[in-house]
Amino acid sequence: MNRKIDIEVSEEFLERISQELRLGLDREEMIRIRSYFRQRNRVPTELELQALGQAWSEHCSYKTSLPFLRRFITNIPTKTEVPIMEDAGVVGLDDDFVYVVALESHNHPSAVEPYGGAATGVGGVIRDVLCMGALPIALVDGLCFAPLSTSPEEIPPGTKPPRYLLEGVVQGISDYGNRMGIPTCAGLVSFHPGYLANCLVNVGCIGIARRDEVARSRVTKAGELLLLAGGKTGRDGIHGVTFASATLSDKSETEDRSAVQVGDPITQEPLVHACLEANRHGLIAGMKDLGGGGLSCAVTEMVAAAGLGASVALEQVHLREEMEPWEIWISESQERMLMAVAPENLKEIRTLFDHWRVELRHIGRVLEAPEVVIHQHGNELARMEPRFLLEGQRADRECSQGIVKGKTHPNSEGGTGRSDAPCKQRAHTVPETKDYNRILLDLLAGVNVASRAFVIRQYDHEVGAKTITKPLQGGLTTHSPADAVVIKPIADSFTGLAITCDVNPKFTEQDPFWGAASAVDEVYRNLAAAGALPHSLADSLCLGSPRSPVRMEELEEVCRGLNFVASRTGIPFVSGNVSLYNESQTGAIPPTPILLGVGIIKDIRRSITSDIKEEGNLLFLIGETKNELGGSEYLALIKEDGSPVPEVNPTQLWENCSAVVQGASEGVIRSAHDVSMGGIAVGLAESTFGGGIGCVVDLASLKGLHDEARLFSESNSRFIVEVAPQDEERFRAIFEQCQIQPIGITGGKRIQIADSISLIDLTVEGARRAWEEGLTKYFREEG
Amino acid sequence: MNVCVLVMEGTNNEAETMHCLMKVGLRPVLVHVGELLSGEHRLKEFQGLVIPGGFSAGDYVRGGAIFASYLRAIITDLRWFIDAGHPVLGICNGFQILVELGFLPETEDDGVSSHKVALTRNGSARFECRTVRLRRENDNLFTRSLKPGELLELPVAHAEGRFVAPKEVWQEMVATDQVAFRYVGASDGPAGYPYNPNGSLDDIAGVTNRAGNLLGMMPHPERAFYWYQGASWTRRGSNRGPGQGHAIFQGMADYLKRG
Repeated sequence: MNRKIDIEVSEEFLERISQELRLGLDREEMIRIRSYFRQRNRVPTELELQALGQAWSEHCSYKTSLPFLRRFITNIPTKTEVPIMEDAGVVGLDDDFVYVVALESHNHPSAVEPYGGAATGVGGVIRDVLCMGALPIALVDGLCFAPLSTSPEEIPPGTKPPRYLLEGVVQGISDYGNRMGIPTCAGLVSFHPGYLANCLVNVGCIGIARRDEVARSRVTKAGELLLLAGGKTGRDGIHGVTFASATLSDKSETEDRSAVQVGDPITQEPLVHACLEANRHGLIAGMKDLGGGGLSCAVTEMVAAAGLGASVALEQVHLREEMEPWEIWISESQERMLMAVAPENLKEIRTLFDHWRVELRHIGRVLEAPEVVIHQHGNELARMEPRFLLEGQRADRECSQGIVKGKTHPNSEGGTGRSDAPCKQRAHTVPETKDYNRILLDLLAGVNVASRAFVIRQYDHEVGAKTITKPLQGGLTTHSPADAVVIKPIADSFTGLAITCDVNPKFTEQDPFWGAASAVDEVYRNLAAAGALPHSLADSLCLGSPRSPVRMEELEEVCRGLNFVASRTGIPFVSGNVSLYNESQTGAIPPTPILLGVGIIKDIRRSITSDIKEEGNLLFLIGETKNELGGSEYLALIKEDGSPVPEVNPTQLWENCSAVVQGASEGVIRSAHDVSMGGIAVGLAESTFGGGIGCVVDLASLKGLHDEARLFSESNSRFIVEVAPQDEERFRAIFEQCQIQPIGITGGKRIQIADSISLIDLTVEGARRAWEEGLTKYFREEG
Repeated sequence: MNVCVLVMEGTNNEAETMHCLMKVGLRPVLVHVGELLSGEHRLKEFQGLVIPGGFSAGDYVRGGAIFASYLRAIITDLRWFIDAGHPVLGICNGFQILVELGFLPETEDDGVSSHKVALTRNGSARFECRTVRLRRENDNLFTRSLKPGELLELPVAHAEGRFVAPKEVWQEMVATDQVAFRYVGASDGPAGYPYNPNGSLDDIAGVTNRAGNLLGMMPHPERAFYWYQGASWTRRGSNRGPGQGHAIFQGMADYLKRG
């Protein structure tokens, strides 16, 4: 039943129609639709309005963020070869291969239904990579929750406790990724009270493809057949994108659960094989996954990319249950791919899909005329112009100026921009001597620093046998945390890809610009610490509601901060996602640009890891330590405010990273670990865990700083590296342009850090236990 | 030397397994279980059989249960294949399937009591992806190049790998020397978690039949075929031979090539 909806009504009533049909469109947008149909002298059908609601949602149209993306993100000058940016970014790897990067958020579904929301997020991002003709080879997850210690009284109605969310999300990712046989090998888990009612679940996927097998998400000419492959279409995931484009409320649990899709990895696994094989045989002209907006978005975008149209027969879609025509058209049921296929290839592709036991339906055909005509049993239900659907609405949002905290930021032209609200400087006052042993143990046990083994071990991070350095590095049962993992994507080549995922919401909350810049810095140094030179980035920009001018300013500042480092180092954003409306009755999340970084290592056999390898080696600190305790784990621990958050010098960052990569490739760096949360003290401790080899360090050579800054400042662009004495000369030559300081030697079973006088003296074993139990203590079985 | 690599929907370790077989000079052929049932392929085309890891049919029921239920239709052929002495290797999900079918362990009452044997939910109640240390126990065609008691480090990745059996079955297995691998701890005695990652009875990680031509194991030798796939290779300096899982595929190839 496809109702006609009379929209020749008052503006107030237009808004009510939008609400009742759950279109998610505002008054202005409804008026635009009214005049469109008025000009054509006809009454729209429900299906047409629903299609517009999907296409014009924030999620599908990027109507708010597009101007920022164009200005700051998609225009980075670079030497990295990026031939295609569609559902995923395609990046040149070598003469024969490209790698493919996709990053998506699944925040709202996961807040309502953590297991299903996270699992289908994984399924979707795998298909984003698949539709470029690439074999998915690695998964990445970036997760943000409220602290696990949040007490039940603090949790607002309709919100699920963070422990429940974390367990559900991890289980969802684990069950989907493990069943697909794609390793989940990198990620981040971050805790901040701002995520209480709106957790973040971001999933990324890396794929690999031969250059001549890269597929496009578009049809090529009229007469091609449209084939729908994979799972059945059902009522799950209706209004998923409009749900993603509104704030969460205490009623989301009951009202929006139907917007969460249901995942089935065992339907998707053969679908991946079948699509790749058909593509390899040249049977596919173009393909696209069915994600947000379902068939509506997939068909429209595929034909619009070629300036063509399509005719679709809805009765050909294989259904799980009886559905209204508009539901079929916009359902976001998972594990489905749309393909354009030349008629002469139909028989062969059918045989191939039969072999893989994957359902394949011929649902339509590409037309010359640029319109999408939808039928059911011969009755025309809708006739839409792709251009009208996809032009969407550029939302003109109000953006505040100078409200967002932070200090003087360089603008994109290199000069300095505005300066605003001064923050309390935590300057050079020397605090009283503290029990730094206790503080270091507490930092290591803190949820943001503690071992992620509890999460990592639930993911199969080695399936595929391509994972060369692992997310936990060291011995059989003792580990240092990996900065990045290295995978070997091509069977007969030693070229490797390093992968990492980073952001620090404490920084971005205090200062969106430097926080975003710091996230890029951390990505680079993590990649370099694995021995790989940064090569490409993907960004998932998660923020609060764009209806707030302050949130808009945060968006702009985040984009400027990302641009500041990326443009000065020539690393492009090849794929991304914008998730706004991460806001609920408890307020907005901290602005959170979750970054996925990919680096290239020429020979995976030169990969390095973070665990100290041998006794008697030299430890060097690379990079400058400043009095930058703002947003640090240390200040959070002692419950004090302060500024500034760490700034970034892109030139120094790049020099330090290049030198570390050079040192690794020549074999003079035995281990490397970046300095991040918890500063040098935590970085050193983590390096000792993997091999159980301690260190004796003196930080007296860090001039002009008091002890707490020396130990715990989180200044950017720094590494701790281990060098064998016989390699010192060569090491110093490689790092001639960089600031390096010898800080100590490896050996013993203790972590000893002094500043002329002893500040920290702990056993490696004791520190490691504190670090290991920081997270697991929340997940012990009760009773 | 054709080796049948038997899969169904949800099997997902076949590519790396086939790579290892190829590199030791065998010819792996990817066969869907449906092709064996329909007669499109027959076991007698092959000299060896490998069932790789994964989550066949999603393993929503019990690891390997659905795959095994399909194979029951051709269980006579399978039994003939095993009795003829062809090497058969089941890794992870493949091991679960061989246990589910009653082939492992091999008992006097011909599989009746082995229905009391299972690879069940890990002691930790969670999926465990980690590296374990194994000791080569019995002499079988796959581990012939390893010294008795030699230690290997291989990854495991499973949610259901805890070997459980009634006491009399376990005693019979031990008496007839069917334990192929045991998990090894930091010192002598029971390995304990996490060295024994799933809580398996008697630290059992791999089992063979009595003749030693049928091996099921939870750890993944195909993920440690080369030295640079191992967990701790960056700590090993220049001490680099083949990967720790290489010997198992080499053993299969050596046996087949000797004819």
